[in-house]
Amino acid sequence: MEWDMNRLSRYPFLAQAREYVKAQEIPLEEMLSAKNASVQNRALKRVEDAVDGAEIERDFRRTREDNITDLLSYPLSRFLVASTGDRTLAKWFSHHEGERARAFLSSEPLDIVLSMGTELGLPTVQAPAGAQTGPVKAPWEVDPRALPDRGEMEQKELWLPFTSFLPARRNISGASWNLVNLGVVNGNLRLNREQYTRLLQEKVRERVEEGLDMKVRPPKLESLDAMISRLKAKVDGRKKDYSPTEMGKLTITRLPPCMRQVLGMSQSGENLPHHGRFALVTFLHTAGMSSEEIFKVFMNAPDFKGDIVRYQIEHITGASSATSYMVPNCDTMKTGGICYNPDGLCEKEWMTNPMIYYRVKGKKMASKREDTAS
Amino acid sequence: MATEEREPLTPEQQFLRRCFIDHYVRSPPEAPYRFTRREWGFFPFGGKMMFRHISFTRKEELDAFFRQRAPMHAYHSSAYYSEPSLQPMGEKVKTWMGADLIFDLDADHIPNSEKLSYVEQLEKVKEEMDRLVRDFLISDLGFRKEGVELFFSGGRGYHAHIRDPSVLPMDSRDRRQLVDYITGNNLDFDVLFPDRTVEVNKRFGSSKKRRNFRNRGHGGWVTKIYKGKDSLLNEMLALPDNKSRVQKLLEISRTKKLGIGQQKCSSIVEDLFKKGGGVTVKRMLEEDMFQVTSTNTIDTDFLKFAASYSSINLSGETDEPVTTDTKRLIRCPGSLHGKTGFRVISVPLDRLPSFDPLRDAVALGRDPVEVSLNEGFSITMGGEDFDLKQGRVSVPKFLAYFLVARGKAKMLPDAFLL
Repeated sequence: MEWDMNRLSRYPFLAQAREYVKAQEIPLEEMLSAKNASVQNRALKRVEDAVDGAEIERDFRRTREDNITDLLSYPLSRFLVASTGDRTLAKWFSHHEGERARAFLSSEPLDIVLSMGTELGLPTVQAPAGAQTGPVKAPWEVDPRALPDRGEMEQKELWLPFTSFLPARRNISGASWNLVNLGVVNGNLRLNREQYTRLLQEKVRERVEEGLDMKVRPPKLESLDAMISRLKAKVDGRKKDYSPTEMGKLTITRLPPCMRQVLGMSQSGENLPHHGRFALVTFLHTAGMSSEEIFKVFMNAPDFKGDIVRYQIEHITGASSATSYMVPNCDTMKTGGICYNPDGLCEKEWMTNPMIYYRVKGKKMASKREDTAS
Repeated sequence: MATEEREPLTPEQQFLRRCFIDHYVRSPPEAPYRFTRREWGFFPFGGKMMFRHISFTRKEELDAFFRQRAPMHAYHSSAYYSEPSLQPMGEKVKTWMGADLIFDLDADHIPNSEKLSYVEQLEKVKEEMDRLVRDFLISDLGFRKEGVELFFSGGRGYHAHIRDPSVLPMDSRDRRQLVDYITGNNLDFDVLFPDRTVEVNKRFGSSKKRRNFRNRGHGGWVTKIYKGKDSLLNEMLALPDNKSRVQKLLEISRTKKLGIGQQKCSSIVEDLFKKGGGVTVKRMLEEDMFQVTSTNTIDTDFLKFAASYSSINLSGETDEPVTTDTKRLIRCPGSLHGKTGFRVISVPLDRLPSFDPLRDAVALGRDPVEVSLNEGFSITMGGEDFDLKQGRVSVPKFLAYFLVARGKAKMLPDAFLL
């Protein structure tokens, strides 16, 4: 695929974009000099937008100059993120770049979306033989032309092998992403264009995040130092705004390893699997934290949406629904793939629920304190 | 490897173990694919716990182990590790290289299995496995027939092993998706059949919504629910009156644990049969539709009934996640099952219908053994009918093993001089 500069600048993580930047042969020092101030500003904004969770600006008509600035800013912004050494920022950044790519993809012609999918390792396949499409039969069915037009492209069905679908959907929750609710025929499943681009967003996120955890040794340059500390301050700002100052009544050292892991994931801005989120909320609630305290725990999630999280918490804790849910049993945790790093205590026969761990650990620690006191 | 601490074996345990040694000396199990990368686990006769984290580098070691130890139960991991004998598990997991995809069907999970005899249970599980492989693994998930290897477990179930390279790297979340797909867990009718606007009233700005029932060829559970609809409606039509139809629904609700009560069942039947002679039902069948009039509402409960015709009861849906646990040990093909003496034997899919475990998995030979039977017992095993009376009996070794292992017979004090 050979794309023009305008299109290419929307997807700077592609191989062709990388080739382009490489061909410019601009050394880092020059990139950081006053001559390239616009690139630096653009790079900084990219990262800051990610921290803010800002709306994606989709500017389709731009000058050649803009496009070049955009393309060059991507590797610089990655360099900045890696230089802060902050894993949470890396998560936020890659998530935001993924969302940006999807925003653009949603307006591209289908063939562009498909070739992007191929490059990202998620190629579609032919509709399997025996798969039936077509209108629904119902006597009162109105003429589809009378319905609001959703565009020819959206109606087109795309097919993906389930083996490539499953790993790509791991971090997406919701019933419509469960295999059981999808049209599976002969090893492939039916997706619409929207669903497909949502998966591509995940693939972009993975690709952007790759390598961001590498140690970089930034050259000693005043302009660079300034940018990095500005970013760090901004990141700290969001973390401080959002992260719980204290865990209320919760004693961290008593947490079972699974909850420690899940809590760590949520606080470092990793997207939690749905099971994990659910388990953590029930656990924190049962351990005596208030909804407000629990809310703060989730503020670091890359896809944090305040209203939704609040609704979910209140639903699970029973504040807004008739039932309050119990902490899932260890078996369920295992089945859901969120039983992390079980330790000696977990292996005990009677250890059937993370809450038991928390209580037992509490007693153990109390008796230890008594031991040392006497 | 940990040393085996054992209490002295009872005469019965000694007999059982002797049988296994004799067998393994002649025919040790074949080494499974990439056996050196797998973790092994064994449960000895008279043992209290399993020994695991064992590995073998050569087939001769494996054979010698079976010959000398003659374990009561033998397992290996579905996973491949670069260091399969590493302990603790946490460290070993770091060397995880992928895992076969395993499906385990066991009589425990067949509804009302406790009311069935051993032979009936085995037959039921076999039918279920046939359906799992044909309808789900091959037809839906697209695995090749040769890519799915079936085993009789030696006990009360069957296993399906898939070693396709595309499934090896799947993590437990991916496998959970497959389990949900096969069991019909987390089916969401609002996603399968979403509301769509069928009528827009421009004057009042209102719209009428109805489920989009897609079509029979949509695939996945949509297709299964279409088929389930046909089965359900045909069964309903065959019944003489509405009362027996309600009974039928209640029965399905009970066995499939749908939790749909009397009142709901009555209202479904009423909806379907309010026009005499089942006109509605006939149209639903002939025109392949769920809703035939715009007033008739097909509710979610009807869809639940239709779906219940296709779901599979996997072993350990809730307590033993065989499929989703990527570090689990599975019973070793070719080994003997300690509670029956049967061999864990491969069954080609085409031979499954005619496969009879009590004939085809018998492994221990026909040498006569005298045992003392606790009570009368009848069974057909190894192609022979047995009608045994309580007390001292002489039976072929395979049956003696079966009876002793299941606590139905004891060794005679003077007979233990094999």
